[in-house]
Amino acid sequence: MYPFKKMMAGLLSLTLVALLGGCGDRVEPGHLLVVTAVGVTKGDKGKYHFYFEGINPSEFTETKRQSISNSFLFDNEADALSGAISAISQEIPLKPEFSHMQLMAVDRELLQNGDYGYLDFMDRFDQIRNNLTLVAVNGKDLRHVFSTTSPGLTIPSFGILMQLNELHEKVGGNYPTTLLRFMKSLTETGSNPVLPLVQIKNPSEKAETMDYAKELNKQTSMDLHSIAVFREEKMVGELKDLEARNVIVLQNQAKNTIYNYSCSPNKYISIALQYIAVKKKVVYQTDKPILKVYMHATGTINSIQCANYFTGKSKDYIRINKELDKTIEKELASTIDKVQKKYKSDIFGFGEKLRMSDYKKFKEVKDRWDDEFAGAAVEVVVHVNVQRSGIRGEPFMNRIKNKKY
Amino acid sequence: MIRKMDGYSPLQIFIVIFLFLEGTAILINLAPDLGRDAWIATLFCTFIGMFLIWWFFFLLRNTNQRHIYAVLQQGLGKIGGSIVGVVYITYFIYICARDMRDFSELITNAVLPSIPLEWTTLCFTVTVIYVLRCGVQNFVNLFVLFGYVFAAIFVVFLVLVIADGELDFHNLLPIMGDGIGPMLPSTFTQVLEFPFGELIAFTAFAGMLYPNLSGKVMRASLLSVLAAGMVLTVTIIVELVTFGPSIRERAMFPLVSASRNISIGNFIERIEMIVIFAILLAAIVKVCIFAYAALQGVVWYTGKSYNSLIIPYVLLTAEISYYVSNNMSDHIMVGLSFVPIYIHIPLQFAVPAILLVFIKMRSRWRKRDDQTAV
Amino acid sequence: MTKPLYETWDELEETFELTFGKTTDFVKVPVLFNGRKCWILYYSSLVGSSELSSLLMLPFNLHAAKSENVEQFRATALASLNYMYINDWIVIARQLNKNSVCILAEGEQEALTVEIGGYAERSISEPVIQPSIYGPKIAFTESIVTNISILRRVLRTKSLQMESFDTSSDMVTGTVLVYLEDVIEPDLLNEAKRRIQSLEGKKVTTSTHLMKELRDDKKTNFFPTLMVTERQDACIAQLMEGRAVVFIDGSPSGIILPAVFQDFFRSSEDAYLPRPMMIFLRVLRYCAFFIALLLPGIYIGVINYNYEIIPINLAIEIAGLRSNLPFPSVIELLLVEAAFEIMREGSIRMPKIVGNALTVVGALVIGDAAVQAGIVSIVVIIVVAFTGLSSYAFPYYNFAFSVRLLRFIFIGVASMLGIYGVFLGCIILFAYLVSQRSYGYPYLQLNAKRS
Repeated sequence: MYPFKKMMAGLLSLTLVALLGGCGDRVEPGHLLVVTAVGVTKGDKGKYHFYFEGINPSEFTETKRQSISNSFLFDNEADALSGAISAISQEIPLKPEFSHMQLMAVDRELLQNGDYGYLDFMDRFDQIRNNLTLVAVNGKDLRHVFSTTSPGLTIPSFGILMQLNELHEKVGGNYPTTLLRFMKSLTETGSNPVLPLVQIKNPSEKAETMDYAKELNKQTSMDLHSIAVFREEKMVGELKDLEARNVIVLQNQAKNTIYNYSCSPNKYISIALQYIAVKKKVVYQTDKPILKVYMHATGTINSIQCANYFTGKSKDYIRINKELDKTIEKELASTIDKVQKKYKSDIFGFGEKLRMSDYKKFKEVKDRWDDEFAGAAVEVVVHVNVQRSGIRGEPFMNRIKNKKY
Repeated sequence: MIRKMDGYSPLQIFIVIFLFLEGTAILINLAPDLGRDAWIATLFCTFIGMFLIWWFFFLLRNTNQRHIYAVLQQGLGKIGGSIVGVVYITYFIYICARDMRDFSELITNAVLPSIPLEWTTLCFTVTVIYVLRCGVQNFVNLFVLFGYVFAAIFVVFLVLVIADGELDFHNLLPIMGDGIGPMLPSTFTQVLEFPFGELIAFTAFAGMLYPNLSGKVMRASLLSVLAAGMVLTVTIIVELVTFGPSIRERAMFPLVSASRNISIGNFIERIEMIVIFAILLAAIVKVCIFAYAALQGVVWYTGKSYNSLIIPYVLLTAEISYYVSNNMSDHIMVGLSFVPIYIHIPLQFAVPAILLVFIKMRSRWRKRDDQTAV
Repeated sequence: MTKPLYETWDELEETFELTFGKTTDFVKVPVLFNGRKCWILYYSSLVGSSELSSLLMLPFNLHAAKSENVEQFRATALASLNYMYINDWIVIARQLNKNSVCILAEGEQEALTVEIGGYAERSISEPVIQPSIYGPKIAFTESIVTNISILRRVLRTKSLQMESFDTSSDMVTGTVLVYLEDVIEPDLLNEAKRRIQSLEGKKVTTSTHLMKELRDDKKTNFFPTLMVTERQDACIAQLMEGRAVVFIDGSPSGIILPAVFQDFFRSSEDAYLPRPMMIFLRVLRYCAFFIALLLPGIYIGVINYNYEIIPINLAIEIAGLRSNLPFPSVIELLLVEAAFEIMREGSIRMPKIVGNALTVVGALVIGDAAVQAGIVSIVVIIVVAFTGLSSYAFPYYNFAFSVRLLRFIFIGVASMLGIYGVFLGCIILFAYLVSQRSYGYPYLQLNAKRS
């Protein structure tokens, strides 16, 4: 009898466990709507207009593929994100799962007003990943951003993220700014945040269908070359292309990039830089801060368009080094200058450097640091060491006129 | 060769004290208002903690008693000693309940949000009861195993954090920018009492496991406090360098948040469950040690058998843990401002100090009496 | 004083029928011993005819006529055989059951029994359950004498001691406790002796029964605390570590006691491998243990509660595979687990010729058909197959049973509390393992040095 009693007790307690526990958090992957991205714009009826990108998971399996769209977009107007989520649940028979959300696109207008009412939910909700990437989007593009696929990738948000990562790794372009990093810049003194700005080139209805993947000549594409600049908590403008790249170099976020300078009119030498290290420093002389930037990098010659400029000798390397140093110094200084003049916002993190080196002074100027920054003098020193020239020495152009054999 | 392993070794007290100190201290936000300098406060308190454990054990050694309840009777007389002893039992149960609540809050907030708090606490309680019922010899051996697992997880965590590379050591600068002054209040009213002052729980039974608290045991205990303090310091540094002081200050469970930050090759992501496992191991050790300390007292005063007391007392603790605070913020605020000043300081420092003085004086009187008698 | 064997010679036939019954394999041969009447008694099933003629009958014909009494005959003709003089029929019956022949001559009050043996016995064969590549190709047989000989052929030392116990009620089937007296701890030896002695007269005749009686029976045992081996080298290694081995007549395996958790991850094969490889294999087996125990539970915990742990690409894949399936994940997993366990159990009982074909067909048909029909998802099949494979990775077969059983408990806990439940379950399991004792030795040996 004894083992029987024990077994009954065990069974009873298991039943109790099942009844009391209630399995409250159980989810069934088959009934999940995996939300991968969310977009926010200003709404008409509600405070915000939310866009959600959901995955159609059966398209990603061998056996259950129906060859319909891989992701779908639905939108909602609500005063808060959680309201929008409960509204989705009323529309769609699946349980939305936010734990795999990767991208959050925010309308430029909201950022310009410094409106972050939708962000606290992301910060607080335990399902959200820390590497949720934040991007700014021009308001009217937002719907298109979530419905335009990139070549090779059938989910729009994946395309944007892959593109951002590629840009960052290969050419020192825009980098994915995580929610946490953005929050840190917003809530700590010393630097203002930046965000990648996503735009659509030639938006078209055709690009928003699955058939677009079969087109060879793709007109519509994502443009990720700009960054949104913030002052305090408000977005104040954008920087494009090379200037954006310079900002990222100055933030010491660039791993690789390419700098060009002209060796003769309309002819260029381009050098790929690696191992870029940027040191920044702020020194106060009397009452005016001096921003000092020191950059070091290793370079590889990518292409030379001028004939007889480079012969592969050591002195040519030194000449290229010097020319390149001058060019980069000029470019960086002009970018800092533009940010100082136009936006008056320290997006480079000079303030942090001052906090580390001279905390007393920093505490004094902390509240008006952006104005101090705008009035500061700039010193940029660049030292690039061009070390190699690919698998060729002298360029072939040198030998077109000057045939040796 | 297989061994019998009955008995207690210095390694065991090393690991038990280590895990006890990690306990919930690694889980909750330690010294959030110190910002960038929280780690310095912890490091500083580690050394005071080493003194504390030496002092607590000195109390036992000097009086030749097995546990603090007997020391209390020796120092304060039968009635006074019993009253203060019961206060200590209540104190251990209360702190045990608070620690249980800390851990259950973590589970409810970060792992199973829809399961009621009572239920997560109950599951935790059942585990604690089972562990306690194994007997002290067995659960100390079990904690040694926990220690290895905890160390392994901590090392893996550090390796992953470093491999992830999203570390910004500039977050630590400037070190003590505002000078040492503003740090002192929180250091002495928060970090010192929690977790280091809580080592007082060991006085309730350490003497029974290690009858004469030999030099080896003392050395192991001191090293253990040092190691635990170092691990806490490293943890706080990791939290700071992964997301800076402003987010750490707002984080409920900064270590869990820091572990969420790890993303390697888009494959190793969200490893917080592994970290929570390590925290769970340490939390079980802490709760078990407090419960055992309280039970030892009850056993000593009432003479009832240890096994019969476990279930009622641990269930009572679970019940207290549910009613100990209304909401999370209440819980944290009481833990940071009320408990240290009105409960920790008297029971962790004042009573042992008074005891030491009383016992010294008594032994001196006795000596004088002896001399006059001769 | 005991009763004499017979009052008058003629009543003996009645006595035989009373003592031995009418069994047909009982043989009684009346012969003449030096002119006296004499009975030769034996069981034809226990004494081989060639042994009988060469060892007993031939000397009998040559020497019986010259001997004055039975003792003289035994001393001259049967000097090499084990013998015994008995004056009690019950003891005679017991001796006859131990392969002996009884010679009772008229006028003598004691019967002579000599051990002849020679019944058909399995010869020493290769280990079947625990095969090894480098180790000795010797497995224990059903005979205790052979088994001890197998041991003593390697451990040729006087410290190899053994003690016999009669554990069966008829006092025939024997149990032998083997140990190295200079290595074994006296506590362990006394405890082992005490436990085996307490079994005397309890009708323990089989190895499984003996094991059931020998293990600590106070608590429910989820894990084996005794080890069964059919390998000579495993036994010798354990003996030299100070453990004892128990053999029982009629069972081709030795029971090693005590056994601790770690032993079940050590194969006798390990001794023949270089150290790094051995460590690698051990680590692999521990991994297999945790996979076999926890993988289904963790799968359920992750799928149903902590979906965020899965990387996004895999998460989408799993969501796709699980879509439009009729069962919840837990039921699905339990179904496939049950199918797998039944298949495993069925293939063991199956005759060898059909067995292999059926397992493959069963696995293919059930697995593939279930996936094709959209009843279960392929992820579950992978999980169950991986778990099943892992449970074969232990060198000792009986260890896998406990893992198979506990796995279901972990699935149950995980389906209610997710990974948190698995964690708590792990802690309770290890608390259980730590508090478990095998002959006074902690079941989980931790390297905590004694002060």
